[in-house]
Amino acid sequence: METQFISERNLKFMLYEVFDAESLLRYPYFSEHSRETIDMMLETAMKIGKERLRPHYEEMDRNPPRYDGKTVKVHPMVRSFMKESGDGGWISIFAPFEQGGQQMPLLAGFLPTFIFNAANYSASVYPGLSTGAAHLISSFGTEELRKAYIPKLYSGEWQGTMALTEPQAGSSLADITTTATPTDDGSYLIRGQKIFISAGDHDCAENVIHLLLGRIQGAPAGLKGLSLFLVPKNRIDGGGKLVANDVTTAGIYHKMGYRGAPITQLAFGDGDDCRGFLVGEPNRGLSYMLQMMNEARLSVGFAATAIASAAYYSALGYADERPQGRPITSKDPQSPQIPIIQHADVKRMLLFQRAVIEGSLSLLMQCTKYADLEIVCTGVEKEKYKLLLDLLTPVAKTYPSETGILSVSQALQCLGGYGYCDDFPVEQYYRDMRIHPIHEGTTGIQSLTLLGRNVTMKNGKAFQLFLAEAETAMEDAETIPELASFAGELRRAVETLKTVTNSLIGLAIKGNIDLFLADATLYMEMFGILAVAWQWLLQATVISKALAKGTAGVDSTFYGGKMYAFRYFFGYELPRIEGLARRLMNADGLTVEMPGELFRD
Amino acid sequence: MKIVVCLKQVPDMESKFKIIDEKKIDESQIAFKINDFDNYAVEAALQLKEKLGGEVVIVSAGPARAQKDVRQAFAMGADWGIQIDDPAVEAGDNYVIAEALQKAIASIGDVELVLTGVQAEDDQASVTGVMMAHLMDAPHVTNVVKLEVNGKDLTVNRELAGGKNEVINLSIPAVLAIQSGINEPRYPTLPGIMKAKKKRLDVKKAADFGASAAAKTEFIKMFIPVSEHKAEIIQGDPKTAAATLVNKLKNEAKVL
Repeated sequence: METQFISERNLKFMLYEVFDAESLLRYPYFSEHSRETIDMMLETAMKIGKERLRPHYEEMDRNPPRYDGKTVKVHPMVRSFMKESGDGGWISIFAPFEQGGQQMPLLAGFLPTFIFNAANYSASVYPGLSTGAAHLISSFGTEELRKAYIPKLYSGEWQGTMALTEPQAGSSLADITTTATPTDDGSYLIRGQKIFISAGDHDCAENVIHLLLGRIQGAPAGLKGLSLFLVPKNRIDGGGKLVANDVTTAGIYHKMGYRGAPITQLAFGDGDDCRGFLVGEPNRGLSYMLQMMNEARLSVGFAATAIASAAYYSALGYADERPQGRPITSKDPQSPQIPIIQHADVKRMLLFQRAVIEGSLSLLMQCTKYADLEIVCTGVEKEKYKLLLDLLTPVAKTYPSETGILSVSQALQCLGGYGYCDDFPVEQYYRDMRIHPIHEGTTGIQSLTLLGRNVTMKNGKAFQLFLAEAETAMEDAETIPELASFAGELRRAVETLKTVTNSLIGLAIKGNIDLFLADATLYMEMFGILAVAWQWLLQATVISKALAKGTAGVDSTFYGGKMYAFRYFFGYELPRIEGLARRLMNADGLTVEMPGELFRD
Repeated sequence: MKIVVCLKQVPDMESKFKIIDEKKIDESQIAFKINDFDNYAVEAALQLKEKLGGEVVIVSAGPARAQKDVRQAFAMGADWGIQIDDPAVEAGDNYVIAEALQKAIASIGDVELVLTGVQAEDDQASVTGVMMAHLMDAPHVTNVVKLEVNGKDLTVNRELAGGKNEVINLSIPAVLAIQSGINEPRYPTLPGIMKAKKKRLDVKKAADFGASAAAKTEFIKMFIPVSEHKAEIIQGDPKTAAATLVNKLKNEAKVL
């Protein structure tokens, strides 16, 4: 198996050269960290990825979790990896020092998980789920809940989950029916079914802590009646012992990819003895859960990018070594075959992957930097970064997830017939990748959020802030002669986006909400391409400035490759927004008007 | 128990090596890391400390870039360290390095056990530990795969060819070369990484310890050997090919 799955050089470039991580470390909140500690963290994460996670990648796919009627048996490495993740402080990486965390900036702190994702996606999700659950409890739970549950989640002994989906309520959370009945002791009796719960039960954790959305009896219908509950698989009794909490695993699903981690169907309160503990205030569950969802959405974007990265290095290794064919101008069939990396079409496929992967990573890290700035800034600045993060989170989830599939597909294509066979890991990357446009909010939901909510929220303030950020990047690039034309292309693309956005909002103002949102997914696609082009322009500006100072050796290779990927993105990907714009400007309502029965022949 | 672990920073063997003027490696192309064998020595020391108390001190000879790997050992749990950053030592042979390390260790005082990795990944000489033991006038065992401490007595298993072990008793102070596989080295933890940057690291010159040994060997050059093995696929039908082969064996290889 190809040993490289990630570019450490690129991580350092993004961290220090593009996003100036050290500027964050000057804020008192992050001042305990230094470049040295961040580098050591990344080095350690690479070792864990290579030595602990990578060797189990295929094995966990070939031997997926089994449900024996009582519990779910997963690969035994999950237990040791959870312990290591707890002991190592990886689960509590973002939590404040006073809560036993590491208080790491998100800009740097997402990267270890990114490395783990690339090494072995299934294994990497277990601790990540606990991070999200613990953060939710710490943000909104009572002191009692925090003390009782967070330490064991951070230590890796207990597993955290998010339990939202029900058989009749997936994307439509408004239809959640799990009920919560108040009891005299302040807890609630929970009754309901949840499906597709990742790591919802397994034999490598002593307990599973579900952060569950349910409805208190008598609460309003729809999203405004949802409350958040902490529901343990085993609850803590009066004597501090763990006792079963009437949470039953009804089964697991057999998945296409990402097979090393179970998704479970859970029954809560079949015996009328399932206790849940309210987190925060009644009926405000969705807003709390959105905090976890937004972190989870960035996590999905990182994971998709990571898998595409691992697939890229498999394809690159193969393309370097596989002799096949001759130069297109060669007429001599006796001449030796050339490695396929010398064919323009293979280079195009590799460049596409690199342009997608490094562009996606840049957009994701941009979001994490906004999240860090939101933490350390106050007043207007804080509001600005919050709005930018809100606006871009669905884009940073969706672009890598959707385009990542195409990227892995091109990696597979580089291997030809071998790519389709399990002798090489690329077919597994392809299967593992496919979940990302589905979980943590489908592409459809993300797109409705972007166009229907984020672009227009606060009178379009977030959108204006985004345009201003792009403007700053364009003005900076325009000062460099060789980048001026690229900045001009981005400027034209931004004008197109503004025109399309105004046209769509015009439909909404006229009350044509169906038409306004019918092609939200295409709008997302267009927005994503433009946002990634902006990120590539930022990278190219940094590189051009560095090259102007003169570099040699490794950096000229690295920067040279980057500049080709940048030019590829602007030459091959950015023009695609013209076609999308043309469709988005057409309000003929084709999909809205077509009756369902006409789909049948 | 006061334990010293000698740690060497080495090039990542996956790097692309380029030799300049047959004298040295082009470092601009190289990533550096802890000598993997030394990780086992660090882990063995930390386990002894956890069992018996005391402290683990890292001693390393190398340029400024080696500090990051000394701190990596701090992040695993080592207490403090000494870095001998001295171009004269760097330019010397194994004996020069052994003497500098030995003098640095002597400066710490009351060191009971010195652990090294079984060899360095880069030069694979496996002699620095032996030389240090000689200079310390202390017993030394190589290839240690098991280690027990009973007061001032050590019982160690030494790995022999074919997986066999021999069991040896010796007394502290002693120098042991720890074989890989004796334990599973821990990974640095994030809290450990945070603490590492605040731990004491004394940067010294050889003269600070009175070390001044001269090299006992002379370095001539380094080069990447050119493989002289050639393979040739003999073409043609079996009869012709066999005749060609016999001809080549007789007249070219001259083995028939």
